[in-house]
Amino acid sequence: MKKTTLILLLVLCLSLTVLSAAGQAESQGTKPSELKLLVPQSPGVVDGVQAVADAYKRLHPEVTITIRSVPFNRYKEQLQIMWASNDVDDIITTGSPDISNYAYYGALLPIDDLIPVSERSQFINGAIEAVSYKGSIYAYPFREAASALFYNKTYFDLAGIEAAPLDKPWTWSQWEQNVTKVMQAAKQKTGKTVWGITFLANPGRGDFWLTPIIRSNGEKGSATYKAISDDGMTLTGYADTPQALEAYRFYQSLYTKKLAPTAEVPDAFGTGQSATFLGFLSSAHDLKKNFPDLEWGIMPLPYFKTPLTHTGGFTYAISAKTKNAAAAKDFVKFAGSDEGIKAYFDVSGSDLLSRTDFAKRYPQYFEDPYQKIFSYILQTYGEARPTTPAYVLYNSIMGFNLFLDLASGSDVNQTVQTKIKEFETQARSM
Amino acid sequence: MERYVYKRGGKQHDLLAAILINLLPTLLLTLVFQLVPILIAGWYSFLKVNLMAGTKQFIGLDNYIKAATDPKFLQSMATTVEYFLLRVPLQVLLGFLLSLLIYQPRRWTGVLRTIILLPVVTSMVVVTSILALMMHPSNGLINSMLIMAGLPAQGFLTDPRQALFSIVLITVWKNVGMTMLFFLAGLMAISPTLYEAAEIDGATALQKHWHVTIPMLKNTFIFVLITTTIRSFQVFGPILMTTNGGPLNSTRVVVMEIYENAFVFNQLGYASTQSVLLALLLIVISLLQSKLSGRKSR
Repeated sequence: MKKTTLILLLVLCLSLTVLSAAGQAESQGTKPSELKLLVPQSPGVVDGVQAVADAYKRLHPEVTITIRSVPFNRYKEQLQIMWASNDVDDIITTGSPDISNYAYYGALLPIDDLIPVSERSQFINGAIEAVSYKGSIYAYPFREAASALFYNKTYFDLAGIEAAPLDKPWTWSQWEQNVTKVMQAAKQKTGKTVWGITFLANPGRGDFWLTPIIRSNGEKGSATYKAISDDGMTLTGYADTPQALEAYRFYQSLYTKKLAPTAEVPDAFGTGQSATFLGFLSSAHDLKKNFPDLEWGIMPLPYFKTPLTHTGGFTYAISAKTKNAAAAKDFVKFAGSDEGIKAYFDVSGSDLLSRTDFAKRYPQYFEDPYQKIFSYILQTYGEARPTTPAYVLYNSIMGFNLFLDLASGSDVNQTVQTKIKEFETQARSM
Repeated sequence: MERYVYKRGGKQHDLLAAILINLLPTLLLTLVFQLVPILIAGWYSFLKVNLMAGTKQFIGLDNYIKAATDPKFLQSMATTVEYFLLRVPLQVLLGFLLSLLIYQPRRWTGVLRTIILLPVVTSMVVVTSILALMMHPSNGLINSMLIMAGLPAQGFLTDPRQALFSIVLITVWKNVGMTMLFFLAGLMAISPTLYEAAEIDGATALQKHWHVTIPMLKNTFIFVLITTTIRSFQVFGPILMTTNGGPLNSTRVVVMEIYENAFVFNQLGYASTQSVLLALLLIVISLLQSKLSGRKSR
């Protein structure tokens, strides 16, 4: 009997301890919660986000964070399928141009309160607009990207051509004249036939890389420069202006004049098969690592009338169906804070940032010479990609299919008109 | 081991139960991963489905009307039919000839069989990558050989006039070994006495094949034709990897169109309609092939 009483007392004491601990946690506002993150498998991203999660957990031990990663090129499909179910990941890491598309379908939670109006000027030009839809912010801009033209120093020296300085980019006609000389010099002095320009994938494709060529043929604020209507649903009058068509014709001439290859040439620039190459910051790191003997430099993207480079990169966004909205917002706020960025950079290596004020406070994260060049290009020439709730369609039709068809020699006017019609029809049936 | 024959009214409940238990996993998997998705696709073909928004709206036959008037879909169907017409006769003929070549055991038969079957056991991704590199317009092996022979370099996958046939060559090279195996199995089942009888009648080698081999392989031909046809209409991987439907939509096949509508354009209902139409077309072609082959043999 005594033994039974003792056991009962023990159980009672334990229960009271547990209950009081739970009550304490409740009163302190540290309700245990679980957060799920979906991250694309892009170099450094998964490790970086994991480091942010670890740093957050150290401050909030009551929060459990699970990170799920999927291959980069299957990420969008995964998002669609995930949002169709009721068991969604609370936070997603995704590209800024897709945000308005997801917001249009109601898949994301507005997070205006995380970026007060007073703080919005701390972000690079266009970063906030890129993640906004109908006046609300739907993602926290985090990483950025910018493109630039890499050039082969050895070939340029052979031709006696000096690359454009960072503050004075070439026009495309200057580029063509100079690169033609470089190609001829390389042929005469090394016996090698080299391409004038190559892209990450050949023939070139993607709105991020190629639409700046077209937009640059318009003055800032013009229809050509805008590339799409303000509501993001109309291309007629924007992508088919005489200036845009002229730029598309120039792009096609890269292939007809055999300045660019019509099929993939693996590592064309790294292996000395190309005089210039359109790349971004990671291309610089890849070249340094994989082709240490190659002599190369970076110059801004050439232009027709207005120099520009497209921006955009990874953002943090919250699924509208999340059951932990408060905890998810708290995590996103932390991820965008100085502590979150430092945790990310310490693991994944520093990169271009949407928030410009961070660099002033932590210059030690911006000592890489290539990063400095790209940061300058980003801040000087950066322009958000055409903002449209149909960006997925836009990039597929106008960024990929159109440029690929032009590289194959299709009629410029007819192809542009066909693609515009296709985009507008699809956008209407969204 | 004796073959089991079910007798009506028999009391072999244990045996029946054993058969059912053995079949159950396969039936269950087929039901969950094949039949149910097919039924759902059929239902979705009458809806406007938006996965991201989580909305489904019944729109009757709108998707079917849209498909019937959609030039992109119709063009992709035409491209698929062209691909089918190029691939099926080539693969069936080559598979049949190769099976005749290695049917009689000779010194080099084993080596040849291994060479022919090597692409079958190699991943489609690897095969496509290698052949695409070989077909590269400026750095490819095939063009280097053509230039050495004094012939002009070809565009292959980058030339709108050659791209589809280049894809056909890739898929035939990958799959002809399997077709050959089917014919080989059929050849082995033909009784040698039939050839002996033909020989006594004074038939030449060609006549023996025409009057004995081909009629005796009728079922194999039907099987190979139907399976190759279905696979031809489902071609996707090599195109996605190499041309992505280009250049100038010359390799834009119907599965590519379905994939893009479902996962790029977020039009799952319309993509389901296109899938249903493709399935119906395949059923019709398979039935026709089956009927025509049957009629010929009579």
